[in-house]
Amino acid sequence: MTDKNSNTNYYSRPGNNRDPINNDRPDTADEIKEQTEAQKVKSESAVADLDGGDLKINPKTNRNKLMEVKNLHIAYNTDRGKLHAVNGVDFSIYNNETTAVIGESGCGKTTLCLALLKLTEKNARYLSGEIIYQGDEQEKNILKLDEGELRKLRWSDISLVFQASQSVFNPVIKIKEHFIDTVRAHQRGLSAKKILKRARNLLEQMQLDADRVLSSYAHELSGGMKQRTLIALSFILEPKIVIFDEPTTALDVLTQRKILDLLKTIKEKNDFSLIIITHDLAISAELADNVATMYAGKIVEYGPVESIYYQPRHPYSYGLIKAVPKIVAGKGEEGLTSITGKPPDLIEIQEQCSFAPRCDFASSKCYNTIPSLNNIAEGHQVACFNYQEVPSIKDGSHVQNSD
Amino acid sequence: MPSNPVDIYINQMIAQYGMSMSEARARASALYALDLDAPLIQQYFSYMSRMIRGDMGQSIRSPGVRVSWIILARLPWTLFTVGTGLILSCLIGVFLGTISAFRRDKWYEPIITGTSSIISAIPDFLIGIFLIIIFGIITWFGRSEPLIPIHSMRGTSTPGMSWDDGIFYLWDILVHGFLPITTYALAQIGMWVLLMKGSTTSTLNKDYVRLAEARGLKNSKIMSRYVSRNALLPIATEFAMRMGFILGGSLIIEQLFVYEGLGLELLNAVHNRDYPVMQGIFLVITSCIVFANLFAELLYGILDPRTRIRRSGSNDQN
Amino acid sequence: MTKTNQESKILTGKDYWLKKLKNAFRVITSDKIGLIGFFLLLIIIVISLLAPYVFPLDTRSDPTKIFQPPSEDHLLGTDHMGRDIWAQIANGGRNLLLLAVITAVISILIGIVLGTISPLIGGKFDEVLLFLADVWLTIPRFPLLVVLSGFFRLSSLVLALILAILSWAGLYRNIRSEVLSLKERDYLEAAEMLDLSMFHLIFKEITPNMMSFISLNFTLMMRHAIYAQVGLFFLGLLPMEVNWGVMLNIAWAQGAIYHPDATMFILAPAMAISLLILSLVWINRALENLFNPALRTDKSD
Repeated sequence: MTDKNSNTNYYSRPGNNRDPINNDRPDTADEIKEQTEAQKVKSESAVADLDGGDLKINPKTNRNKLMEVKNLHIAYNTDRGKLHAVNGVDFSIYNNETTAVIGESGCGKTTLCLALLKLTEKNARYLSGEIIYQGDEQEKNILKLDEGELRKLRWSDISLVFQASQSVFNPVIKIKEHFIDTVRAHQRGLSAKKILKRARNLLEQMQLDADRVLSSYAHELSGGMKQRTLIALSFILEPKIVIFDEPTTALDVLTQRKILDLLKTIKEKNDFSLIIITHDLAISAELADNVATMYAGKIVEYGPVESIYYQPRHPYSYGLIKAVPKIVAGKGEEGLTSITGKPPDLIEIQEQCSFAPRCDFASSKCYNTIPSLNNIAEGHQVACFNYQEVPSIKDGSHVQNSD
Repeated sequence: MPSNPVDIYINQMIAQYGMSMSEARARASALYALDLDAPLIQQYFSYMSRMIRGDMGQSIRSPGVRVSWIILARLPWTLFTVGTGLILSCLIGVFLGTISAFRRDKWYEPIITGTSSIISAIPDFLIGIFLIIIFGIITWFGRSEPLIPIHSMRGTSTPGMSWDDGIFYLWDILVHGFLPITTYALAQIGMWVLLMKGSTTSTLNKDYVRLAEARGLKNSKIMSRYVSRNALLPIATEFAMRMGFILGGSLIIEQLFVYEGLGLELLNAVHNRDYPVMQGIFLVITSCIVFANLFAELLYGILDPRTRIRRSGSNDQN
Repeated sequence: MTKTNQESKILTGKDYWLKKLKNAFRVITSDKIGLIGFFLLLIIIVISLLAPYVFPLDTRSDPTKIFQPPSEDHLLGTDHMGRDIWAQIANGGRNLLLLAVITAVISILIGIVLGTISPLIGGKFDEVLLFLADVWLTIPRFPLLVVLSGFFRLSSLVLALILAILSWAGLYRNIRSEVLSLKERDYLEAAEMLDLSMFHLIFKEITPNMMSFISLNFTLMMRHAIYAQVGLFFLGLLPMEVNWGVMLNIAWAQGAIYHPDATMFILAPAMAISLLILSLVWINRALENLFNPALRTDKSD
């Protein structure tokens, strides 16, 4: 069954597996409380919409570059020395496509995404590179913008959804103030009424009781509700790029499921590019068009989701996928492998492939030359000398059933 | 040796005025409004119940003067000096603390923080002594006089002056209060700087500040609505708590500057074994702390919505 | 049961202390300010101990040498009776330190016993004690000491005892909450199941695991004790002896504070007290770093 799917349309692949289950499963107690009957009906229709799966135009034939990161190097000044969190990254974001950035924690993916808004912490230094953004007619280098221009760009062009576990809302002001503050920072003088109308609409799309949420303080909302509120907030200015940093970590599985479904719905209905930073391969498999694998501050592989998951070319991508346990017990236990060793210390840079010490396919060349990212197929790039030796993943269920 | 204030008074009357025992007892019981023949425990309770009603009896040293009058006469001076010192130290401390939190990479930040941690450790009365030595005793820059004429600045005001002198009296009060106020302010300023710095630093690291930045909010808006409001929460509570120590914290400093406030009055009462005055002042000091604690709780409830909810019994999600 | 106890890898006895000492040494030497504080205290202690032999007090007054400025004979000058000030400074810290240590030991003992027994017994006992502590905390300590000195003749030792008793509430509350969190861990449960005595529970199981907490509070209590003692001495409410607080009192009472020639007489004890308290503050800071490394460096990533 999975094989068939993978050959036809990969967009609806995970959905087909999931949605029947989704419709049957009970909501969490939390959500039952908050949902009115009317909303429930809506939610089911939303899911039904998804099943219909009206597909977008094949992105590969009609791709518009929205953002291009060129040779980006970012280091943090620490007590021990310079920590090279992003160490020569090249990649692009295309109009209306979803890109997943996967990798272990500490590989620099969060730094990379914060850099797209130039939001990195004070001790971060941009050593080189540029981030070209083609928002309107003019293209801009985000790293060269002054504070005022950055301020304008932030959230109205690119918005960012933080991890669910974190305290993203100011605890002493109500949720509605966050919406009002945000809109007024970009569109001065807009009446609160208009702003809240827009906010209500978005919150309802996220299946929240809009009025209750707006008049609440952050601590009065559950983790899942906070996350959905933040997602609603991220769309309030209709940005061209939305970045999700670990959107569902620290949420329980059912809430994760719900948020993913809502995200898919909202993605179907609106035009925007989505960047998802995650270490959860299942999420990226479900939502992404493209996947970028990041290792030790570098993007080591980039390509369409189906290529990466069925024919990964970088040994690290291969290892990541093989390390995902299957949910069906007993069936594939022997296939489960973990990547041995630890990621390198980002403080010392060595003249070698940073993955070589952990790599099963490493040759002597890997230990004295840094591989660069090369095209190996249409839209598929990999930074590995021995990419042809990396076997394909026979059973795609690795990434499908993992939650 | 001190035992019972009434006995002391009776002994005093007999010794000093040659009264007979019964005369002295009659006078004492009139003075304290106590029935000296009643059991001790009953006397105690009647004394306490009058205390609670606000009647703190009369002074032994100056018979006929009510303790409450003494307290009311001294209270404003202590409130004025310690209160002004508290407000000044808090304002300056919050200002410096905010600066040192924002400018952690500047050369002056370690100076502010270092000085703060040193002066916050030194006992307040030593700071007073250092002030006197630096400004009142040592002569600087070849001048013949020290910077401050310390001899004429003792007490709360120059004897003989009163409100009739209008603005001059006010100036006189300020001059006399200058050193105590500066001492109180200096003694606490370090604490405020460190508290504000810590509170601001931790607020700046909060995700909601980062997100406000990501949302393109103006810096001024982020500072006023997102950083300061949260960073000032612990400051407000601490301020309310400190208000409680306004009266109790003035003992040694008032002695040092011979400033006739409540603390000095308490010390005099202790030296004179004037028990009603001692007890009265101690009661006032304690109730000040109790009320300040209540006020602090109330204030926190108003300022931080999170505590409001917890009270009404909802689950405490962060 | 003993097996689980061993397996939980709680270091006890010699090993524990050796490790702690090594750790303490490592951090204290890496923290410069803590090191300064440590040496400052060491110097004060050494001088205080040697002073009776090396810098004996002038027993006789010498009217010809009143308020002399610092000189070779008199390192810090002389007081209002012509006696050497340095000798008084060198000898004047001993009792303060000793009583501060006594106060800290007694108050921490009270805190540990009440703070551990209360949550271990639990129930009404715990509630009542907690309520009492809350009430107790509102009592203004220093004014109460002043008032008490009007009722009783306080000696330094009695003062140490009273101070320790007065400070029970804060320590009790802190230690109680520490114990409550420790109580969740399994080794305590194991110890309880082994039916070990309360004494064993408190001093062998709980206390070693709260050493960080106790040592922090120890320096804090010493500071409070020094403040209270010096304050009361300065106010003349404690019997006279040779110590820094009494020196302040005499200097002040003799009008030295308004007398330019007598500056040293008041400055010297004021500086000595400040240095002693600062050394404790800096050691406290080093200890905080030792036990809570998270405070030490800002997180990076």
